[in-house]
Amino acid sequence: MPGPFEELTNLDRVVHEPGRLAILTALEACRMADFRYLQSVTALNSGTLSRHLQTLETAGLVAIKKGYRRRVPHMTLRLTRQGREAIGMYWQRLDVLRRSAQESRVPVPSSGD
Amino acid sequence: MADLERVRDVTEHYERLQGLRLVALGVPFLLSASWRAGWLGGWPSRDPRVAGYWFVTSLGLAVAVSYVIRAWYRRRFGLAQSTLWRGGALPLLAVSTAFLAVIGLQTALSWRLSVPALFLSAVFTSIGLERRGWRRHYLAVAGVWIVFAMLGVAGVSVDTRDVALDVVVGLGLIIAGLGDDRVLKGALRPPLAEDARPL
Repeated sequence: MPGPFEELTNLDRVVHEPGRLAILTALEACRMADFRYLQSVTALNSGTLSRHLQTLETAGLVAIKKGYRRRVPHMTLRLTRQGREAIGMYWQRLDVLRRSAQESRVPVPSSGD
Repeated sequence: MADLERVRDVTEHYERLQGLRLVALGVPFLLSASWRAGWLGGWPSRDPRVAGYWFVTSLGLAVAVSYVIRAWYRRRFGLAQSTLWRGGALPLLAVSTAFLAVIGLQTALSWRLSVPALFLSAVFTSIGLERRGWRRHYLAVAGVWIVFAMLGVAGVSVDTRDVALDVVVGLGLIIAGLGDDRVLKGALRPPLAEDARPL
């Protein structure tokens, strides 16, 4: 049975990065969102958000639709099925990791002993 | 982790947290209460039928204003569309159906205690307590409905209760709306104008 450290190395690095995890969490909670909303909810600047979205699109976790709205570039995003599975799996693994860390914790003797 | 919960909660409820839309809807009810109480000096008409047309017109105007406010939220914070399951459409349908059944019960049994008002109070209490009370302003709305439910027991006349109903609906919408708007503005940070476009 793998220990907590081995479980930690099994975590999906694409999902694990805090900025991308926030993006995936937001997209998991809705049908679709636009670029501006993701900026508002994650507080990432446009450059960082664009880079994260590119990474997530390359990994097949997010579908991006680019267009124009009142002659202004407008980007809408949604989680792909693969993205939904990836974030579900991530939380599952994190939960296993938390439980195995709790089980393997060595009790610390109190100062009065 | 708490921050991810904020991201999830506010995204799930984004459309419902656009509270200023509710504030717009509350105004016609307060105007109606003022008319019923005679505070408008008979304006726009003393004829209840004409006043009814004015109420429906003002409600239509409020709905139109609420769409303008929705567009403002979209310009400020962006767009996030809820899923059918998480957007609250199904709970709203269930609550509406149960509410109609409770109204039927009240009509059939003619209780002095307003059970539909107590039912609404219970619904608003549950909203106020969910997720560690992040929309606890709904508890104030629930309190207003409990007071209204008791008016019949306290011997308040039907005319006064009609005024009170408009006040409760209008005040409830305004309290809920201002509270929701505060929650939304506390959870989202609109991007700066020069940083608001995808690269």
